[in-house]
Amino acid sequence: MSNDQATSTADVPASAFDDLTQSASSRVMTCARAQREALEWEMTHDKSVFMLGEDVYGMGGVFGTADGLGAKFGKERILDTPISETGFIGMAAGAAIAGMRPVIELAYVDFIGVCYNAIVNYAAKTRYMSGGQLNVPMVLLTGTGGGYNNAAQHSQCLHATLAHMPGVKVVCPTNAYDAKGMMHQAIRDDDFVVYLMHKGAAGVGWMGPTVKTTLAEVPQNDYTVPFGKVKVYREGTDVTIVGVGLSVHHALEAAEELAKEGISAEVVDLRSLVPLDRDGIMESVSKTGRLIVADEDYMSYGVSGEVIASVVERDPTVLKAPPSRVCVPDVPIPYSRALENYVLPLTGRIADAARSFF
Amino acid sequence: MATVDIQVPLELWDDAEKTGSIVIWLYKDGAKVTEGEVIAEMLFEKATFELVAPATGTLHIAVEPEVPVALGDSIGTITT
Repeated sequence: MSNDQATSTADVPASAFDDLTQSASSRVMTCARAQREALEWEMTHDKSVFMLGEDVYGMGGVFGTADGLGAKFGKERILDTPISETGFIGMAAGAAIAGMRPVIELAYVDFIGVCYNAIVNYAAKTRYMSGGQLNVPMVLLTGTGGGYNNAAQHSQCLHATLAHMPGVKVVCPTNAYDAKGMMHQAIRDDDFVVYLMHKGAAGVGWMGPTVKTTLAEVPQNDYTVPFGKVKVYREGTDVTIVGVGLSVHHALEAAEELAKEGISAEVVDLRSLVPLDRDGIMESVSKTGRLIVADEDYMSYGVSGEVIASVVERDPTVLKAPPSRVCVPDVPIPYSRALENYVLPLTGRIADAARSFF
Repeated sequence: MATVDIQVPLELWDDAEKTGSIVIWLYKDGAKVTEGEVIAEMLFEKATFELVAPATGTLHIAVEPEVPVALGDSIGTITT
């Protein structure tokens, strides 16, 4: 798959996460606004880009990704769809095969079941089945995760289910800088990209207070963040905590707690599940010798197992102790806040997993 | 040098009896901002609204995020 369209690969300065130290006039943004800015830029500069989904034209989508874009680009390019994910994702795949660059807003990943045929058999396989004659430059933007009492059908991550499929790129940015750069990258990519944003990391008011570590300085200009490279949020020497989505931010909180107890944790954000930066994972674990994977998806057959396999297949001797998974046990996400917090891989569970190494 | 009040616009949401809050200031206290650009995000019920700078100058933040505010409240100033 081509992944060579990066125009710049600058990484966000570490200071953006520490205390939001800003130069005099730089901007701090939420992930939701940052991804919207990228979408708006691409729609302005490329007439083949359009957006479709439920409530995008008038309301701007559930995360505000299309806020104001309906008025700017009109109903032809910000398309409100009926509540039929099957219909509009199939339609988008067809448009992409015909040369357009659709960005689909599928509010919650939980609804993906009904569009699986369009995703698995059309979007993901057409390039292969056509012998490379047809590309599917389509972006599926969707919200993942729980933590807000929305029960079992509106709280899932399901990213492993998507990452399992050949022909799909799957990315999950966790801060505003990456959110914008990866949205530019996703839209410019000639292949099908699933762009996952954890609802709790998006910075939308209805999820509660914004998670501070998701905020970052965001340049005004366009830039891309290439897929397939982990980001080390915090360096450490005793244990590596690999996170996906919002779990990265829980891992950062856990690392803060652990530091007070004399445990130095390194926090690694996968950022991209497909392609997966196995070298980057290995590099960190080789240094610390201990591995925890914090992943809000279901535990069994998941990304957590894949991360661990990436290490032990290369060299199990780097591990000083058996690796550990902090995930959702294989149960539906409960509605009750107390029970939900019990199954989510929150800060306390991550920190406890690290403590158990020592 | 003039001081321009930053108010929660009266038309930002429909129900004047209800309060909202600031989600995030996009700029730090003391930053230079330009008239018309988004400087804060505000939350009312489940919807997020953008607040634009009423003037060009130096931003002074008076109200922090997550504090209830009403329509018309002064939440900061810009010195031009």
